[in-house]
Amino acid sequence: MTPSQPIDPHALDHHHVKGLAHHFDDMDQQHEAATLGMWAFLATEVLFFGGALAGYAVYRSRYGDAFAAASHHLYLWIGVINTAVLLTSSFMMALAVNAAKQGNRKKIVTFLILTILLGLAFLCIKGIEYYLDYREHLVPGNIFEANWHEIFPHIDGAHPGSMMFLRQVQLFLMFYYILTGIHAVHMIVGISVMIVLAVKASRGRYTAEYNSPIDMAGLYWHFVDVVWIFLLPLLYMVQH
Amino acid sequence: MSSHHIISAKTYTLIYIVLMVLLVVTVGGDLMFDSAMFRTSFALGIAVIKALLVVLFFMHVRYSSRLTWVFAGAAFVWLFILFALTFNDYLTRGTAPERLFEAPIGGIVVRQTPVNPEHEPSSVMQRH
Repeated sequence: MTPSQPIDPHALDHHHVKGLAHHFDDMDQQHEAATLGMWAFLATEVLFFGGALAGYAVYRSRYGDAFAAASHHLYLWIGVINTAVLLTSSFMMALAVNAAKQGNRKKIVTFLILTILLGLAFLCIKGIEYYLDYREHLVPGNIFEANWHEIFPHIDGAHPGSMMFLRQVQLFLMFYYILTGIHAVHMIVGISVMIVLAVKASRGRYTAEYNSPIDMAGLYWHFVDVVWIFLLPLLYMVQH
Repeated sequence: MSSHHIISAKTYTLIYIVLMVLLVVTVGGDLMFDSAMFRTSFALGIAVIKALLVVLFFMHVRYSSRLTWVFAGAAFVWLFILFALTFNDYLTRGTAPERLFEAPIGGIVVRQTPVNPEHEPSSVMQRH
């Protein structure tokens, strides 16, 4: 187009569609691009957790006895309650996405707030669990080393294998804190994102046509849920 | 296109109920079955089913474009490679001929300990 030609107003029409960035042809294309971008990110996340889980699997295949013994000291029932809380939170997020596709502003905000509250409940329960673990000296390092007699009263410290066994127990605890810790960090990120989305949604930013951000936040939140679905049996139900 | 497909609240509710039932089944299986190996496989099997339900419905991959399937699938293909190659190494260590007469590297140390009649015969840990 040369500068002398008049600008065809129809050619610019789609620039005025609310929420459509100028470099996309239409909403479908924009949404597809956002979805693929989010999944590319989630693929890196799968491998991020995957690396830690592969390390866990290698050590568990070798130190199965110690891993099972340590796992039995965790609070299975707290893990189960937290799974239920997180699944419910994911369900609320799914309903928020459903509301967003219908452009129902009030419902989007309500379900986002419910998702956030359930996410916070998960973190609070997790915090209480960490405290209970700490009180039982289930913390790798000096705390464990000084108090392991209370946790494993049947183990004879003079037995040549006992020190190795106790180190393997602490290795399991390291995996427990790191895996649940990075999972909790992901939840904090998700909750922060949803607070921003809830505020924007309350201002009517999202419509039946433009709601990709809520959909993408949903993908992320459900992914965090999937990670926890695997952490429950891997950390709380170790058998040998 | 994916952006036009709205999954009904009813479908989401159904999936949610199934997920909660599966959670109860996981715990039930953990308390019920005797075989440790079976309990582990059972719990992980259910986790895989739960994850699939979340990915296919909550993350609506089931209704998304083929390209989205490829992107989502790629994550798990690479995860499979990560595990396959890692265990290809760790599970086969000590099986080469020159190693046949040595103790397995990094095997469960507790079990390799020579029997000391003053202590427990084979293991220092008590099963729960």
